Amino acid sequence: MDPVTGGGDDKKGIPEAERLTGRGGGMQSSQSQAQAKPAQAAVRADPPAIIVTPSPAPPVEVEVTASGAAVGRAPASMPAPPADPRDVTGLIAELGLTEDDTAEPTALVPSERLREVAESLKERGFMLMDTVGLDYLTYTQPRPKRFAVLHNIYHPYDHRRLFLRVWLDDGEALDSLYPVWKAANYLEREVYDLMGVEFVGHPDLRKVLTPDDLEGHPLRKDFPLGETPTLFRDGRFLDPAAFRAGVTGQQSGLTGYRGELRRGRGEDRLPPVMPEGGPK
Amino acid sequence: MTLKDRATLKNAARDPDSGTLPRRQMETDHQESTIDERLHGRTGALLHTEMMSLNVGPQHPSTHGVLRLVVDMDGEYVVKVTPHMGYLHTGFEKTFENRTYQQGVTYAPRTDYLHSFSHELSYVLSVEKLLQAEVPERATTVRVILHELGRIHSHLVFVGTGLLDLGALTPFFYAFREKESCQDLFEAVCGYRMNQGYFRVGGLYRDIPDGWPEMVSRFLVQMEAGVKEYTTLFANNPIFQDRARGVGIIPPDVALDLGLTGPNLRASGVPLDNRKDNPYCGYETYDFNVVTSTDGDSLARFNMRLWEFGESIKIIRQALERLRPGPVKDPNRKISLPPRHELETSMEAVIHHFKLVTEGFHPPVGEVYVPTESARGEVGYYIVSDGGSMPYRVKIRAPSFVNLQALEYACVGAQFADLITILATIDPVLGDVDR
Repeated sequence: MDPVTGGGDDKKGIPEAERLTGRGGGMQSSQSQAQAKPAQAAVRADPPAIIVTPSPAPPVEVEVTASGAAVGRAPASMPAPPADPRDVTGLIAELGLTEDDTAEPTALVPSERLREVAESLKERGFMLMDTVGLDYLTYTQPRPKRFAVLHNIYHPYDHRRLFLRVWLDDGEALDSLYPVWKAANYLEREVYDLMGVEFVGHPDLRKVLTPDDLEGHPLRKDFPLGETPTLFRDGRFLDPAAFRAGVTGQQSGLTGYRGELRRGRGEDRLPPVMPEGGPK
Repeated sequence: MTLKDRATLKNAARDPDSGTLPRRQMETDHQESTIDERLHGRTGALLHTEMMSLNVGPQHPSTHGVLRLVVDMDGEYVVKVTPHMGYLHTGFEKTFENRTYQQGVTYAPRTDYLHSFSHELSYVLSVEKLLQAEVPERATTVRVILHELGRIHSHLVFVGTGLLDLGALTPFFYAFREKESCQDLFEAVCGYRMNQGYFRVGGLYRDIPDGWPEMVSRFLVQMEAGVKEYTTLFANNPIFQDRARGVGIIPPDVALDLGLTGPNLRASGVPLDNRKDNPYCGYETYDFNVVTSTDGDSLARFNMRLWEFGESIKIIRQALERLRPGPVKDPNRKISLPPRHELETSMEAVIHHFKLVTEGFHPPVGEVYVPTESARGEVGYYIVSDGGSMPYRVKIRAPSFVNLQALEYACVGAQFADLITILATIDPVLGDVDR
């Protein structure tokens, strides 16, 4: 262990390679500090230092002062309104993409350019927040293709947010963003599981939320909803109609429960009788 | 023996020159591996022992629900963790597509059942953005109070059950004492202790009861005393510190790469907080701080929650001062139900009531996303509307689901007991993971 590099909370003293691999953290620094200065051991027992980010002035105030200053001057010399630092129109143009007309700032990305665009966004410090799979099969407005995958990209320091929209047909695969952002791992698995979009280059594309023996992708618009017999793994079979009939007392159903007590009718209600051979 | 003596002794035991092996020597060897190696289990092991797979869960008390982990172990050290989720998957996103917008409020809080108000708020904010609804001042202020009370509630469960996982039974009783008082406030306001469903698109279900602000004030006093107790009893406890310090370090660049948000990211030194950075509900007008730490270990993640109690209390105090009488619903009859007494005199009110209850409102075509800050990180509902009375598609950005990826990174090289610590301090809610 190097006492020079493990210099307390000062991360600047740690070489870049060590920071990337996760070394030089609190454990080692406390050890090396204890070696170097045992007198300060009790100080380390306190909670680590709090860094408090000061509250920035609300943006509304800035605008008020800017317009207030402009009132005294001639309208001709009025400065152009300050560009919104969160506006991503320039960024979308810079990446050579076209903007979608939705309310959220969305860029249309051709599927073959997705990886390249993501890489250049990662270099600019963006992070991957979310991946949304969309199925426009029954949408009321015409759409270019049936599926869309949206990547929710966010900059954690200047707070710009950008959605990357890729249009896909059924069966069309998409480049995985896992090589760019590790966060894409579960997010893409979820889209694959629920929407059935395949991601090329994902190292571990498995189901993540639905049971292994469920066939189909439930969030597709053509996935049947309700009234479908469910087949479980070892041949167990649940027929919704029979199940419901059992609950309403029309038939004995699956459980043998006739629903009399729940229905609460007067004359046709029979006293509960233990079936032969005990409860099933 | 004083605390200081104890700390000196402890550090002496770690000193390699004193003849004892330094603790976690094995761990530091594992920590040289890169993020790729960690996520794929290709770490160089010192001792070539037989690898063993250990199954944890899904019914395990320290997995905070039904999370199943398959842990590959090299002796006492974790080489790879594979989480298996989905045991609580109930298809909320599909259910949303078959319910009206107002009915969706019932489902949103059931995802993250510990900080239900965050999902509820995020959902109604998204729908309100679609509708361009005007939420009255009083409703917004009550939302802020409940949002922060929910954060306190969630962090209280974190403190209680998190330390219970580590074998400490006492914190559970201390934290749940305050948690019950907090739930009394929820019950007073809407009748439910969990899964409240109190917010409505355009405002609140009903006004807060008389005397509720005073109840909140009394709770805040109790909470402040509680936070002091937790700090002295648990956070400054040398046994706990020894188990949490330096365990499961997540550097900031890795945290951003893995998509971490919330206290887990702030513990790694990135001051990202949507209340500050993407303000909603007028958070930009409240005076509070974003607390961060640079350590990125389990202790920092634990302390982060304790410090956030104070910031939440500050926000609630300011909100209570701003509470003025007024309406709590958008007056637009196309969005909010008319008051009951109007139904007896106005035919128009009856028609509006009938239309809203049977069919619901029709937002314009569009796609919206409003990020909010829950106790676990960024919550957002991506809602696609096709102009119908039910959402065309709802995608929940669930922070626990994304945060859980950090488990695979942070546990590699740690001992099995540290895995429990790391899982507890990452604080996933399985309802939020599986949705």
